[in-house]
Amino acid sequence: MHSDHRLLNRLSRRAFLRSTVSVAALGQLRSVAGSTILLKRNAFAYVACGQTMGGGDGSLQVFSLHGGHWTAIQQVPTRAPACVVLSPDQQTLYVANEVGTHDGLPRGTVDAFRIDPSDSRLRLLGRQALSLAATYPRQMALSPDGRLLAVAADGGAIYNLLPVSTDGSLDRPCGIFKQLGCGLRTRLRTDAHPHRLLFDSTGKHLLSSGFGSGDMSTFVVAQSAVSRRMQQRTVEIDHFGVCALHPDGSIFYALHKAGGSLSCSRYDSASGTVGETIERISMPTYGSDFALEALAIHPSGRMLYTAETTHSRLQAWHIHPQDGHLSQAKHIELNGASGNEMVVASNGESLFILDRLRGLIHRIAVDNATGEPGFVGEAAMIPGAQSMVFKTL
Amino acid sequence: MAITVDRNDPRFNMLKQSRNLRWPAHEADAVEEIELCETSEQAAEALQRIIHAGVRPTIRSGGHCYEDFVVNNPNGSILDLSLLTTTAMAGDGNRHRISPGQQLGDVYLELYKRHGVTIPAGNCYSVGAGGHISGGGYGLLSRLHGLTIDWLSQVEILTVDSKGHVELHRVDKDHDADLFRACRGAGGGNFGVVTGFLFDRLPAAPYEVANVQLSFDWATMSEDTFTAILSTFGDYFAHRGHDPETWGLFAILDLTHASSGRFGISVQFCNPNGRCDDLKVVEEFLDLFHEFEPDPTKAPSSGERRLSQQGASNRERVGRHTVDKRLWLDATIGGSGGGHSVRAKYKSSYMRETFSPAESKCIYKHLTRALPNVDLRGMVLSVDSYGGAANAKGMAEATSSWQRSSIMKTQFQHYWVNPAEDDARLQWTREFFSDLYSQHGEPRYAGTPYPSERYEGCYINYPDSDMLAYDFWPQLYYGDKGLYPFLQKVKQRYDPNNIFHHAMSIRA
Repeated sequence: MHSDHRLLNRLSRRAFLRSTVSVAALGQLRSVAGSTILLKRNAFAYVACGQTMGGGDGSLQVFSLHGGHWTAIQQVPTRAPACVVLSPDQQTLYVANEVGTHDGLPRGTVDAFRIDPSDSRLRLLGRQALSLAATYPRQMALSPDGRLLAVAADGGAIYNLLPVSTDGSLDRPCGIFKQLGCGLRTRLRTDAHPHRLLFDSTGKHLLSSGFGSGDMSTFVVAQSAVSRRMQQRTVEIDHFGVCALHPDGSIFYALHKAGGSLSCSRYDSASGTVGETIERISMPTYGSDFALEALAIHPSGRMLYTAETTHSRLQAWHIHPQDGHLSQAKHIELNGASGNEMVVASNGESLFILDRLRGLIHRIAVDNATGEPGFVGEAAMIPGAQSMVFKTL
Repeated sequence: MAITVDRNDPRFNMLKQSRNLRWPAHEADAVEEIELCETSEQAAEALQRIIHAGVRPTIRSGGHCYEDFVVNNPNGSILDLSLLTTTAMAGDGNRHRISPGQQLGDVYLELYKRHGVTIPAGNCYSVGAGGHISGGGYGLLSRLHGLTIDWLSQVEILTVDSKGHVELHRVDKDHDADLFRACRGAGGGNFGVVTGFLFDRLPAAPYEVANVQLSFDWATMSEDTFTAILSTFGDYFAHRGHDPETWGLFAILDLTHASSGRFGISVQFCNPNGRCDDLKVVEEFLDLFHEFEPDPTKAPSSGERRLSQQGASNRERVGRHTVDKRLWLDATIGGSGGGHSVRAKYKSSYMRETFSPAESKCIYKHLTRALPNVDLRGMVLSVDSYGGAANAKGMAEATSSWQRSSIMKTQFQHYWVNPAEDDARLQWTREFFSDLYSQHGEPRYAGTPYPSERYEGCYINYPDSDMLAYDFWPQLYYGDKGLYPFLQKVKQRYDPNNIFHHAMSIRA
């Protein structure tokens, strides 16, 4: 009875669920670790596979996820895909091609693919070149309304804003910003390398954490142009790595790779300002500046996840609903796998963890109301996997 | 403070564009603003502002860049140095200063009137010194006096360090010698913003020069005769042209399209002492073409670089020829304005040997090939004499102009007005160039004058973005003997953030 009640609550919140997902889906419930979780609902995975030491063939691979099985349904050759982003309506996929040259010029590219609503396969809409010297794009973020795609080029430390047309295709860059290194941590990098990119909930500000520049910048996006609002640049900040905004838009979380800590700061979305640090939690890096790799927040806003590469472990953190403070919830062993990237499915029912070196993707069942992680589910072996997104039904 | 011209300023539409009206290619490619700087301090301040704003700077002196390197800069700023024309500063001592914004014609006037000296640079009055000298700087006196950069003693240049701070360097052979060498011929827009060129000494300006023009009638021109004319021209510079006695002779063979009616040769000459007392070298050169029945009374069509026919001259018979003797300054600045802005495409090559029959026939084929509904009278393949002092020993290593064994230098020039003709004209020019440079050499370099026994690549001041289609394009412009890796190291050291970049800049 209790489980059924929770299920009904979940369904009522799931406005995004299509009406066709009803009785048939409910018939596939099964209970895991005391929680009722939909495991057999269809989803589709879009995985960028680059040419890396781990293997791979420079392609996009599309999988149907059903009943715990990953079934390959399409492979699309493309140039060095490094990052994939799904449009808010789940109808368009954007792929950053981590290349240094396009048409003889030093610049990377981004591909736009239409996702066929009938079978979720990809059809190329077009390839858009980035601005000159914007090479090796690795990070992207879509504005909440899906009208602007921000791209961070690692090679030139250049940000591009690309307008999205009504059909989902991309126009030429309308906003360009060049970032410089500050050289604070010369033993790492003195030139700027944008590491993570995200829009805030208003879509008027773009946040970027840099590696090498040792900073965190916020940019104002207005009239399709981009200008820098602020740049935090101190030794104490110590290399923002992966970062994320709480779903309510008021708290900024960041993993500090070099210093080995997890911070929690206030964020003012009206001004696009990262404010005072509320909390800073030391995290072991085991001697590696690159140990802290992945951070994700559950759509409910109640749980935050971190993963690191030296210990194959996922750490879940409760987020205090009032002030955003973190407290340890539980940790889960990942059977020797590293966590380089984490993605929470938009329906809040699954957490996917990517181990790039091994080409492994683990799926952890998650309570979609609380974000509480359950068991480590099926793993998919996809050599060369670099980035992933999931379309849920 | 620099003068800022933004999109709301009535001057913007004029200043956003290039002299080559193909650029910016699209309205969206145009810059957001232009910063006009009158001093090096203003240039430093404006550059710092641009860097802090996260904007890409491109640098302009005279605005003659052939490709889109400057004005195709979406969201960016042009640092326009055309008002930075200072000719002397405290601390210069006895040195001659040339500022990047000075036009070559003004440089000639200034140096001549104040000191009686000159630089062996180009003959278009309005070309800016900044870009011209950065790429090497050659002209009608280069066979006599070498390249402009061969005389260069010091360069003042603004660079941007790894933290984004603008720094002024005064570089010479003893200070930042690597950057100094890079500034001597690698081309503009690569390492920083040059705010001054200083010369310890410069050659004396000639007192006078002799000019002659010959033209040939396309209507009666057979392939055999055409081939013979080209061979005669090339053979002269491959053999006789090595004699220092001839170094005061600079000739341009302007090969126009047959539809223009005539093609021809322009000659400027002076003796090594800067006078025209002994014209036997000219007579000897002109005699070589007598059998082809040239007409000295009808001028050939030519590109922007035709020699001046204006101003007072003294006609003088030299054997069976008539030459016009002019005072050098008159001949150099009179009427050589550089023309008005049009749409254009350029290509180039250095030639180490005379024309082969296959090359001459190929040129003949294309210059007599029509393009439906397109008037090709705006096309000219200019073949400049080269060598002499331009091939001085040691200069390949001291500078970044490595082409020091060529006898001729070609420039494909194609001018038109109607944007609708862009595709057809560009394609015609590409086919011509590609066909010509597929006659000899290794198949993998077909279509290009890749460095070999016949060719020495292309000239960076005549850039051609079509060459980007070849992954060996840097070797076309910088050779295959180690200069390009050297320039890449200089780039990494002095521009670690790759602030200064364009389509054909040194790759970081």
